[in-house]
Amino acid sequence: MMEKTQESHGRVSMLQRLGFNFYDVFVFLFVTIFALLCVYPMWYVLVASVTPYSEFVKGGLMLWPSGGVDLQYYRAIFSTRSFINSMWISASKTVLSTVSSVLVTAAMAYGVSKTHVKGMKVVNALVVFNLFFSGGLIPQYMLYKDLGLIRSYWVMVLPGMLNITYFIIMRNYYSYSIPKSLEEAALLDGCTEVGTFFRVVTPISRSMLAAIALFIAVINWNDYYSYMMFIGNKTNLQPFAWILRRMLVDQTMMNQVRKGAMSLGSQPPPPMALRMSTIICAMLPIMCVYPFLQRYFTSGITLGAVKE
Amino acid sequence: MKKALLILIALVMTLSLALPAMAEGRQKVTIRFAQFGNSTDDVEGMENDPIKKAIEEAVNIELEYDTGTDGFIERMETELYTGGAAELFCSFGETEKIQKYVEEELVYDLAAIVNAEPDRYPTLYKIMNAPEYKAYNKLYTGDPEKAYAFYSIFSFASPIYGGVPAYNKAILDEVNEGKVPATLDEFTAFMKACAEKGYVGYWPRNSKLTDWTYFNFTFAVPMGTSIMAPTGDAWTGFVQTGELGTENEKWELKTTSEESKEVIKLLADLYAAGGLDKNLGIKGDFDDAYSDFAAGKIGAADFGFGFPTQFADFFNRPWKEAHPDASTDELVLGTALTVDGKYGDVYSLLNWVSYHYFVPTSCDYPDRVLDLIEYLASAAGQDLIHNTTNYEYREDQGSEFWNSVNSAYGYNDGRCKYVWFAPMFAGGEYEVDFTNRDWWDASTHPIDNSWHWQDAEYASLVAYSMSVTSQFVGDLVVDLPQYYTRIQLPAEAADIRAKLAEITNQYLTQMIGGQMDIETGWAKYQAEYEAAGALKLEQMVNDAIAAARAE
Amino acid sequence: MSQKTSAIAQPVLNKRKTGFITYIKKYWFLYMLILPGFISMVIFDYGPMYGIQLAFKKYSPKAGVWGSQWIGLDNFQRMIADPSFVRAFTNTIIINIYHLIFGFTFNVFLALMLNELKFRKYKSVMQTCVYLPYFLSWVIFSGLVQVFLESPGTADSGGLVNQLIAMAGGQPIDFLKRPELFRGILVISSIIKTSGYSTIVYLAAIAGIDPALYESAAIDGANRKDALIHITFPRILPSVVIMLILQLAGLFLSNFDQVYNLYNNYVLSTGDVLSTYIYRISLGGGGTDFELSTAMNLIMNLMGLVVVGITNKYVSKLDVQGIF
Repeated sequence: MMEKTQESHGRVSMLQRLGFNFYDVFVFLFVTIFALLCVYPMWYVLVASVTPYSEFVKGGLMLWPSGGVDLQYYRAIFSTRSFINSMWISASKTVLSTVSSVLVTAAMAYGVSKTHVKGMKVVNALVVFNLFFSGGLIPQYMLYKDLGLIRSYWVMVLPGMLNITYFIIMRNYYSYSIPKSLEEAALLDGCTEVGTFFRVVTPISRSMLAAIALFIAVINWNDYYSYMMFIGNKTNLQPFAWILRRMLVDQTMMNQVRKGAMSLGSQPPPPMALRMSTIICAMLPIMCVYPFLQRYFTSGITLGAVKE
Repeated sequence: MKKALLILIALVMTLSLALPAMAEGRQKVTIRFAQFGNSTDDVEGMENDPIKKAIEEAVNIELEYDTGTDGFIERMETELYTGGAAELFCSFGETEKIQKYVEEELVYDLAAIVNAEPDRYPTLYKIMNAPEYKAYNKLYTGDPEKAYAFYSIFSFASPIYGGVPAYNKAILDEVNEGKVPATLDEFTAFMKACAEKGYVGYWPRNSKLTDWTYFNFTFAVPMGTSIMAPTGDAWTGFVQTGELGTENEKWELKTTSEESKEVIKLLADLYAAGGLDKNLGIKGDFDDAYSDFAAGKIGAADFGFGFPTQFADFFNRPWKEAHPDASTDELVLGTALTVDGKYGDVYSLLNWVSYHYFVPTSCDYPDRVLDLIEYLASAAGQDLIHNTTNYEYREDQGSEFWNSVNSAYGYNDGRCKYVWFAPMFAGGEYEVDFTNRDWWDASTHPIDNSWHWQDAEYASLVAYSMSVTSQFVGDLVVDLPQYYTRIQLPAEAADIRAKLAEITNQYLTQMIGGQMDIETGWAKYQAEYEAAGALKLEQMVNDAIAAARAE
Repeated sequence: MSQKTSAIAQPVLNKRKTGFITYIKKYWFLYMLILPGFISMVIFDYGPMYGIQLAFKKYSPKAGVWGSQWIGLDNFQRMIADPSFVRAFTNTIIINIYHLIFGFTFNVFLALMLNELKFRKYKSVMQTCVYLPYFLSWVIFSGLVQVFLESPGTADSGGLVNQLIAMAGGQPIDFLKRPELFRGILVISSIIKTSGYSTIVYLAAIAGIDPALYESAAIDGANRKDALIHITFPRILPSVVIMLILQLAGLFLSNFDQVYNLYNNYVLSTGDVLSTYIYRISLGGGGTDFELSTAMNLIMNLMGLVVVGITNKYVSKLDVQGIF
């Protein structure tokens, strides 16, 4: 649509004949520079993590691995058993909480979006209220203690089942983005409420559900908070995000990995280099799902903010 | 007479046969043991740990190890307050904390359980009925008959000082003609010379600039002051100005004194000159600093090398890890520094209670936890965790065996003892003989096996470090009278001390880092100290010491 | 399902009293749908709220939360008297206002700029790039920040930014240790990490604008900048307002994850926020003050609610779906 307005401009200059003006140049530069800012740090770390340390300490922009690709830090990381174990923990908890969270949240959002049904408005208010009001860390801790969730795997899965932010997004989607006429027609054709939900509403909201599932998955993959607060220390329950955090700040984890590296016969690797490889390991799964994720971005999430 | 003796022998025999059988008959329970500062990341190593298995079999329990560093004490406390504490956990005993635990009925009176079944807990029965043990009971809770904790006593064989740096010999040669700095001026000159040659002069252990101990040892002590906030010992941050051990003794809080200001100015100056690492407080001690030292970037590092084994450990890791063919003379141990020929004073106790071990009331089977402690305190348990047979060092299990055991928990320093329960009976991780000695005697005369197992190189490093330390330790360390172990600060003091520690961390960090002008900042520092109750604390400390002396 | 036909066209009509049973029979499925979420909400969101009474009590583990002694507003007095609280409180608000002024406006601006890009292919590449950082955790991101901003030591060259400064002949800067720079680092790192993602909402709103509007504007002689200001911007205003409410709702909250992973002892004076402070005094290494941390959380929540209430009221006058 922008192209159309462009063509019909009144004044015409050389640049405009070429299809450009200063405005375009500004827009182009602004966006490009910002995009580079977003991507370059990751590239830098990726390149640095495979660059031999002797090259890395010389500094520089790390645009390309100089001195060859050296995967020794990755070998060190993957020979540490808690790394592998934590990958499993993260993967399993991500799958479990994403599936449960999307099912629970979507179902509730759909129900609540039917505001004409008694009680739904109240339920809606109750949910949204939680966005701004919570018991706080210690009351949470005490409740989890009473529920037997402290130091348990399930504390990383169960409490997040209803995701309030995505509840609001989904509710608005069901209210405004699904044409009312579609549902009504389905009901007229003899579909039950159940049938409408499964055969009409769910198929057309597939891309929204996919996008939100992936968003929630990313949140879960990156989550270490529930472990840190409510488990504290249990070696075989550590999620990868926690291992990563410890690699960045905690010496005991670092020692573990460096020891592993030495048992492989190499020199103790420098902490900075190991940190960068760990960052890359943590980014990798997200990078893998990212292309699929992006397909659904704009089509899936419109937040339904505008009353139409 | 003979008959009686025979009956007695028969009785003892049946009992000794019956006791283990009874232990086996008891239900198998899980005991979580929480201790500060180990690592549990090596799942495989932990599964294959023969010592853990042996303990589990002997007491018929399942052991679960729990540990942590940052926020560990608070996590334990949160768990305790919410009814989910580890079945056996340790803390640094502060009187007011223990009193609160007791008041809230959070921990068991261990003496009551032990005294109810003396046959089941023979060693503990003996320990808990020692007069010195009861004296500590009285100190902590006011009642000599109630033991809410198992106390671990820290004792040294000889006076020891942990505040001298280790030098990288090559750098020392390059910038200081190999001469070890002996005065503060020489040391600061060394640091600056390092900076000029592109090295970091000095890296003290600092826990991201929350621990000022080594700065204090190196710079403040020779200058006759203390920059420490009052943390840990009651007298930390104080300097004694009267006559020790008499009614005239007087302790002054020196943290914000003019002398301390000079120390901080010096540090800021050194920081600006590059003598201290610019990333101090950002980088970590045991990973980055170790790594940098090993890479030859740091002239002098300070991690408590006056403790004889610490220097040897430092040589083995990180130095030897990075330089497999290193010879022992590549590192040089420093000496305490002097100003005007004087060392300054470091106050120290010969022995004190270091850890307290508690059993929380949320645990349903305290008797089983005491079974564990009883076993560990017995000759069999001590033999197991200290590599001995009947308290005699075992030659067949050398440091290699123990390295493979302990490295699962983050230690591979060649020690021949088990990292988990070694500090439980003696704070210095020595073996103690509760079977043949009484509690106090055993605790203050721990069995030190550290000479038997070391290889020649390690032994020479320890001997070297002891010989260096012995040259100055007598002039430097002031032994405090025994009543200093009985100092009890009022509950209010804990709040004040916590606030002061936070203030110190902030001001010193910023002043040394050059973000705050010292001349103008110092008055604010003093004002905040006063507002937080520094004077009140000073009074409390002096009163508490006087009260302990009068007792 | 005999009432099928009547359920269809005008559900509102059925609000007439048809009896509880028939009503449930008709909508049982919807109630079933919300049930799991409802239970989860009651347990995990409303469950902890009984603990709020700790804010008015002196906690005794022996007596439990319910049995502990009421002490009125003592905890709140303690809170106000605590300089660290006051500092964390002011920091939180100042940092959030910075986020609002710089971060929020930047998001809108970036969305508009992305939309103005002429080549669709290029635009989609750029979008890919700017969305990306959102999906990395703050742990990773703060790791990156540290890698880049590390100050040079005597023995090494420091992070890339300082290497560049040195190359340009400037003095190295201790970015991570300067209290006056810390808030800037928070805002900028947050912009880089989340701005791209935030544009999604606005871009979606822009996509919904009727192209005819631009055509007629162009005929009237408006240039693209005018079109941007007079057509695009007003059309995305509702989305902007929604996002603004959400942002305002968090005026007293802060991004724990970001601050916790980036701050250090040097920058507590400008960087310590309520959530990190609450964490430190409850579970994270600065004592265990259950009552104080609960009281702070309560105050934060109440103030947040007031702000949201006020903004939501204003917003409902606009033609926007509020969040409630």
